[in-house]
Formats: sequence, C-alpha cells, structure tokens
Amino acid sequence: MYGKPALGTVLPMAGLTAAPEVLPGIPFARGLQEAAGAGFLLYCAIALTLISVKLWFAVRNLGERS
Amino acid sequence: MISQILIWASIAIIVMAGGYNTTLFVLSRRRTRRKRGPREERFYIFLLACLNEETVLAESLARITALPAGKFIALVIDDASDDGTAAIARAADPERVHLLQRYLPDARKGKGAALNNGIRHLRASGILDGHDPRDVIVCVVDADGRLDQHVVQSVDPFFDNPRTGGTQIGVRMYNRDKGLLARLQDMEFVIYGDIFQKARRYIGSVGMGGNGQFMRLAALDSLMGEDGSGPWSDSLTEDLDLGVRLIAHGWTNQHCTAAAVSQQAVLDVRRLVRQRSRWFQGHLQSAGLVPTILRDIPTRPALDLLYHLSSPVLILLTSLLPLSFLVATAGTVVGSVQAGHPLISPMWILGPYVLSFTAAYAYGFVYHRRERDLGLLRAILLSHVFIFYGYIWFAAGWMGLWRMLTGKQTWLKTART
Repeated sequence: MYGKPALGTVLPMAGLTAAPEVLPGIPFARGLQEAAGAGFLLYCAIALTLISVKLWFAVRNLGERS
Repeated sequence: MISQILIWASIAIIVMAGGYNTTLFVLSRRRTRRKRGPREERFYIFLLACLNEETVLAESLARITALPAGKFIALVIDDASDDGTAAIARAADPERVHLLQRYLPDARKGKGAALNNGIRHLRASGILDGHDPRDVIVCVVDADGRLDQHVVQSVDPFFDNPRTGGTQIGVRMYNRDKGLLARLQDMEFVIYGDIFQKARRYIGSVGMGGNGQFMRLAALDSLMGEDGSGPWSDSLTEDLDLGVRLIAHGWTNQHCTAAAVSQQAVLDVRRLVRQRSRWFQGHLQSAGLVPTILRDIPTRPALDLLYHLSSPVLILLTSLLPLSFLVATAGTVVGSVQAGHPLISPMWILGPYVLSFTAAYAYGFVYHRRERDLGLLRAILLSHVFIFYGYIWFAAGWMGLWRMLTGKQTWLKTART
C-alpha cells in the first residue's frame, strides 16, 4: 500500500507514561494510546497464528517433496 | 501495569514499522545484475480502459504511438463513455490503435471487467494469431498515463527470464510542479517504487500497480478461471490482487526503476482522500487472498505479503497516536498556563521528532536522486512535510472502513482536470 511510508512516522507519546493525570485531556489521550496498544496486541496474536499456519504448510510441503 | 503494557505496545507499532521501513531501505540500496537471455522480439499490447477520458486520452495515445519500438499496438477499451473518448481513439493511428467499445448494461462494471473484455477481444479478433503467449507482453496503462519513450527497451530485458510473469514500472506525476499536493504525491510514488518495490525484488513479493503494469500473456492465461473468466478480478484493487495471484502461480514479479509512467496528480485534498479511501477499501477486500498466500506462496514473500495486506490495520491503529499526542500536548499547554510554568519536557519534542522524522532524511535522499534540480536540503525539508502528508491515509482509512462496514461498493472514478 502506498500509505506504507506513513507507518513509523507518526507522533507517539512515550513521554505520556510519565505525564501527570491531573492535566486536562491526559486521560483521554492515554485512552487513545491504550486502544492502539490493545489493537496491536490483538494484531500480533493473529499474526502469530497466521505465521504458524504458514510454517505448518511449509513443513508439510517439504515432507511431500522428500 | 496493564496501562503501561498497552502504551508501550502502541509504541511497538512505530518501532516495528520503522524497523520494516529501515530494512527495506537498506535492501533497496543493493544493486542487481540481470542475466541477458536469448532475445526474441516481443509483441507489446497496451491496454487502456477508458471511461470519459477525452481530456487526457489523445496525449497518452500520441506518446504510445510514438514509442521507438517494433511490434506493438494499443487497445482502447471504451467503457460506455458519454464523451468523445471513442472518437479520439478512432482518430489515432489506425495501424497502432484499436478500439473496443463496451455498451450498457454490460459496461461500467469496473476496470477489471473492462480489461478482461480486452483480453477476450484480442483473442477473438485474431490480433494474437501466430504469437506465442510467452512472447506477448500486455501493459495496462491509465488513460492519463504518459509512458517514458524508452519504456519497452527498459522493461523487455526483465522478460528474458522465462519465470518473469509481470514487471511494474515506476509511477510519477507529470503535473508535480502544480503545487505542494501534486509534489507530495510524486514523492509518495517515487518512495514507494524506489524503496519498497525495489527492495521487494529481493524478497520476491513485488506488487503490481494499476498503471504501468506489464504482464506476460502466458502468465495472464495461467490466472484464467475454468469458466473463461479473468484474469483480473472485480476487486477495487484488481492490481494488488493480480500481483499476489501471479506469485501464487509460481511467476516472479519484477520492478523496473529505469522507466516510469507519468499520471495526473489529484490537486484537491478531498478528492485525494476519496481516491485513497477507495484504494484502502480495496486493500481491506484483499484479505480474501490470505488463504492463497498461506498455501501457495513461499515463506519469505508470504510473510512480506501478509505484512503488506495487514498495513490497513496498522494504519487504523497508528491513526490514534497523533490524535493522542495532540490532545496531550494541548492539555499540557493548558496545564502550563494554569501552573504558571512550563510542564513540557524537552523529551516531548525530541523523542517524537526522532521517531517520526528520521525516515524523512532517507525519503529526502531517495527523492533527491530522482529530482536533482530540487537540491538535497529542499528534498529533506519537503520530506518533513511528506510525513504529515502521510496522515491523509488516516482519514482515508477510516472512510474506507466505514464504506466497507456499510456495504458501499460503488465508486466514482477520480475525475481528470
């Protein structure tokens, strides 16, 4: 996808982990970032499953060839 | 504790994407050597699927008919245009330009359907008689596509390798001097071609684009359905679909950086977002290719293609981060005013800059090599703007997802100006 260069170039806020909660908007900002993190963990779980299936196919195809 | 894990997981998205982009940048810097095989003079067929293209078609046909190549023709597939598209095709060099007219209600069913009709017409009309499908190269060009004059000479050697099924050439914007938005689209396509596509040659996962797509007829034949349908699908991104299926059928896709097709950049942000949301929706539809990738494609290209197909998900997830950053920054500014002293740490500026804009230096370097007149410093400054331009994909992504969830499949084509 042509949007690929956009990935890895966003503005994350690692500093937010140390930001005081009392500042206005911080809980909402933290919630957004946590939602992205949760989505990514789900993404990783699905990716690992797909990779496992791929490796299973690869091993099976090797077995069939030998 | 869970909150901390989720926040660091969100940063891991950036690290993963940055790592992938860096790896492909390094791979793209490698030089390739191509073996020259025995040469047969190949027959080139340029397919132009056209729906109301009278403003741009004549120029494109003039450039094709002037190509310094031996055996080639252009087939204009008029998809029931209301304007003078067919008349322009008829007025072109009759030795080189053929016209296929489609009529409603069978017409206007998408680009894939028009191209499939074009292939059927080539067979039925006898144009392909006496030609070995391995030595016939079909090129899909947009109606506004202006091919480099040396395109055939640049692409032809890739087909010396009998395993090469398709070769994608670079894409540029011929109106890139018409403002910042056009310039950024040009930069986007140069970066995509010269970094991502070029690197994917080593992985074996080069994708096909909708414009400047050269394919061996024998490879297209291998994608035909048992009922004679195909080779293009009815997906919104039939080009992505075709590229993956070529690899799954054992063909190799190549990317040629020595020639390009120039197309018209969109000059309006709203139209650009709409165009990209259509691509995004098509990309989401391509999730249906996952079983094919798992089953039929070797592991290395398969992993890259899985990452490629999952890019929309990552774009949607990362779109939350700049929003979070903006809200937090605004909150901190308000808090600083209330507290009477600044609460912003320098790390808030430096950290995001390093994570977000390091890529701009690589992108600026690559673009400068294509646009020497721009100067390296200006190219790097421009690529900083390009980072923000990438945020268009966030808007396009949510729009594309909404259209998919609400079952909207119909799309107006991007209007020419």
